[in-house]
Amino acid sequence: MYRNCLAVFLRNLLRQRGYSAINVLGLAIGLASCILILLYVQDELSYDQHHENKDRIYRIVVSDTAEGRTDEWARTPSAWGPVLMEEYPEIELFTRWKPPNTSWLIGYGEKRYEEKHFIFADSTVFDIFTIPLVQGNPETALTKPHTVVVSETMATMIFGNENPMGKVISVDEIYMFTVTGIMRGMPKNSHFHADFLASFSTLAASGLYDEPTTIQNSDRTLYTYLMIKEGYAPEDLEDKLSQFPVRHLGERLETLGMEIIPYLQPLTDIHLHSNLKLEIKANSNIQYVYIFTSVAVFMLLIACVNFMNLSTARSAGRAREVGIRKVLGVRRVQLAVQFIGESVIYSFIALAVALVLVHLILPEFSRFSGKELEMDYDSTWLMPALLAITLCTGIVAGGYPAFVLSSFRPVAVLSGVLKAGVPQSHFRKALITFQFVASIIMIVGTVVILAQLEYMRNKKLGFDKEHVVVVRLPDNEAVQGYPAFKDKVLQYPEVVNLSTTTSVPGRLTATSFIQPEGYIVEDTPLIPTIWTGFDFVETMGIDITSGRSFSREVASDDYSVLVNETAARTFGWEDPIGKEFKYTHTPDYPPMHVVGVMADFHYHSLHQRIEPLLILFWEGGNTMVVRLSSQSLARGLEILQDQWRESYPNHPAMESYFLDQDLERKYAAEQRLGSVFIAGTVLSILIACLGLLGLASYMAEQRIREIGVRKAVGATISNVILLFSKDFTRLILIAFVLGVPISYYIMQGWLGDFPYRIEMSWGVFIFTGLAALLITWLTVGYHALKAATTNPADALRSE
Amino acid sequence: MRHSIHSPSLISIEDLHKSFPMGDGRIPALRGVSATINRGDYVAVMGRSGSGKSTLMNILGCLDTPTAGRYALDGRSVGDLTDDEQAFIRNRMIGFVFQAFNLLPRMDALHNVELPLLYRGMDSRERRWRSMEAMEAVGVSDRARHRPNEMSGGQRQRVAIARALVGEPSIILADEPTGNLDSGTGEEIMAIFDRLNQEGHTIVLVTHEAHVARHCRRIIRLRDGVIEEDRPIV
Repeated sequence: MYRNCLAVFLRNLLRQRGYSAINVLGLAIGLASCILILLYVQDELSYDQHHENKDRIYRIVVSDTAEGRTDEWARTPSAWGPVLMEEYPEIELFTRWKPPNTSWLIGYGEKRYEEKHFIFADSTVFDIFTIPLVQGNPETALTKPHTVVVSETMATMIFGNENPMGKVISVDEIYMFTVTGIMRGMPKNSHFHADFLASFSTLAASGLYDEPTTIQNSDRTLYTYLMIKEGYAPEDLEDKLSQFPVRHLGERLETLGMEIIPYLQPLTDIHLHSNLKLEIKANSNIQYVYIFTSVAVFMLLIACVNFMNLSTARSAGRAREVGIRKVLGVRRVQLAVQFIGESVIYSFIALAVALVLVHLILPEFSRFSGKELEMDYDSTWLMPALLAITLCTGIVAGGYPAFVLSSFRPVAVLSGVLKAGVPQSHFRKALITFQFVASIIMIVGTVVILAQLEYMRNKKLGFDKEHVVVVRLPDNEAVQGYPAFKDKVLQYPEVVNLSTTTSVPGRLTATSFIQPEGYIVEDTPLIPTIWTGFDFVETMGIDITSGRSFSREVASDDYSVLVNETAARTFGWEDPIGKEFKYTHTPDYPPMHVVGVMADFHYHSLHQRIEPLLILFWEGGNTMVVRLSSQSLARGLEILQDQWRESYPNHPAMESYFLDQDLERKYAAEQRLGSVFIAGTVLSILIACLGLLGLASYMAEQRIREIGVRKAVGATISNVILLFSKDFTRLILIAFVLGVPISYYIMQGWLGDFPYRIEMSWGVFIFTGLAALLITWLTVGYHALKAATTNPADALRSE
Repeated sequence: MRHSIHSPSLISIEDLHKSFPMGDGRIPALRGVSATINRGDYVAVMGRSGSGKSTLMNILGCLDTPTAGRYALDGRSVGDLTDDEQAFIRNRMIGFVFQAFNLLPRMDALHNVELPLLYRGMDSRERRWRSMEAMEAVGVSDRARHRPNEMSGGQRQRVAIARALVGEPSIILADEPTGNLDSGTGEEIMAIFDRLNQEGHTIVLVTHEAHVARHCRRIIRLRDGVIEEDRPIV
């Protein structure tokens, strides 16, 4: 029987080539999109899963609240690890992870490398995390000061064919480290990355850092990871931890009106669930995983709907076969299994096509997703996932057609009473409407995301972000050499202006307890603050609305302050010039006076509202901002690099970036989402169009006689085309009415996360409706025109 | 009684040829047919299966175009008209009656009858009024709200005749109008055609049944695509 069923299937597949191609292609596009998104989502979910003790590892993070404002920090003060270990028996081990503030210059012989991934860690790092050593003993590798474990890649780069063990490398030409181990490269799907792991004890031994003994020190320089003993619940420990800051810092917290609450972040949650201040690197967001997964399911559903539609529409063509099989005694369930089996075979043929598509698209998809995705058929999850998805797709797509086909009554079909799938036409219309609703949601989503992205890119930020190069001054020597460097480069017309700062727009600002005039100490708020040298305001193109910027002519400007308009408003100052600020914790420091008010500008990305901001005068900032002439950007950069090499021979590579490009990266998540929506929209419309094409062809076939009759009584070509498009147009209008509120609700929710956002106008929906109509008419148009130009005599002849 | 103000010749065909592609070659269906049909004529086109009678009817009804030859309807050459011009001619000048009725199954009888008027852009009230008149004329006005599958074969064919009549065409073309009916119902339908002809309608019908042809006043007999006989019935 199975051979017979297979033969019938193959015969139908080949005889109805166009219809089969539409079915296979629709499913293949749906499956290919699903596989690509699955790869992306799997990669996102795989972060930090490779650590054997992952279920017991937590990062301790801190939420502090003062002045009604809560900040959450990924870093903790340095003493917390040892003190927590001492006080809480639930903690088995801790390790601290201290990244460099900047990068380090690694030296071996004559070779020099700038290295950002040079991390200081406690020796327990290998007990907590799974970081296999190729050489060296993990128990002892980092116990002594001035020892370092190097990644295989870096070891090969630095030492070539030499055995690195026991070799000495220099760091910033000052500190010496002995290589005590070689570790495997850390996987990409890890929330941290290190090429060098240096012993934490080096910090104290080199005088780089004093190991604090109490937690009174509130520096936030490192990350603390804890491993909890087996059998202990992290929730219980978290409850106990809430008392930890009060116990140690109670008095000070009371004075400052602050509340500090530590909490535990499971290691495997960090990548998708953590967006705190001072993260090791920008993490991803679980929301996007949900959105991308929804898009994948959506597209697969649209492809399944196509299959259902075309199969039920064509079911009458197989009615006689069903009738004969039933007469011969085949049971309904056997027929259902036969038809579901056919759709599963279709699905597997589509999988083969989908895999080809995936291999073609994967490099481009990897590029835009910023990941190195690959089809690893040896992995434990890929093949089972592909088989499961394909099987489910086949069953879902074939379920309804199988139900319809197996329900035909043999007497009705054999006597010819049953006509082409009329009872299912309402269901088919509902399915088409669903496809259009899905397409409308995707189109609206795409338009809104792109419009918001465009808005964020083009919104006036209050300063001129173009043509500004940001350069890191790697050490004190570089900072001290800045005035001379400035004098040199300003001789070139390509360099317009430059200044130093502690921070640039888009990067984190410090917050300070600085008491504004009119405030008592207890009410002093935490205010975002940056310190800049002369010419910062001019270099950045920030407007001064009253007063002036820092001036070399005024000696007292060492103690001057610039405030933004929001700060002036927040402090209730009508005329801020001359108002006074004092450091609350450094009473000996001279008071500072406001000399100018800056027009509000977006110091952060547009994800955040403008807050009060102070700019204090200090020439020791380790970042340089340089405005180049827009006429000769490349030449300007070349001059900077030449002068840099000459001025700082110890740091031959100038570490720099363009400010506008850096700000653009703040919107990478939205850009990625936009790209997924564009691709999703195009593909879902393509799949829906394939379905429409198949249905239009089927309708044309079914209505050939009707069209013949209408033409015989005088219908023109346009009358017939209109007749044909009318049915689909009606469905689009229904889908439009359903799709608009749904998409409005979804996108309004998405826009709600942006303090600065576009307003969704009717234009978006009108555009979407017209686009859906146009696409439908173009798709249906071919078959409508073909039907309309058929010779009516032929149509009426076909009995 | 319809009165013509034009010349008596309504249809004039001259050396009409029609062939159909078949494999690499072409099969001739009509091979030089010439005839004239006057206003008020009642013509039976007869012939065996494959003689070319339906092909001739399709060309006369502007449903198909000849491969060669000349066809003038009411003095106007219609062989080289565009699709839309042909549609206009069919809508205004020709009424069709088919063997298989060709009513649209999803519409009731009234909507089927008013279809030609719909394509004239006529106001719906007038359309309905005239359709009901046409249905009364053939005795099916009581079935106006019934769908084709709720009517007998005779009733369906009457509805089809009403549809052919409603636009007041110059000529009614009927292709085997009694072919799907029993003999009694067939006679009733032919009685309607007889009456319509007596009222002045020009009727051309294709049939292979002699008793049907005897209702007409002229016979054109085709054989292998040529006119074998063209004579009045006495």
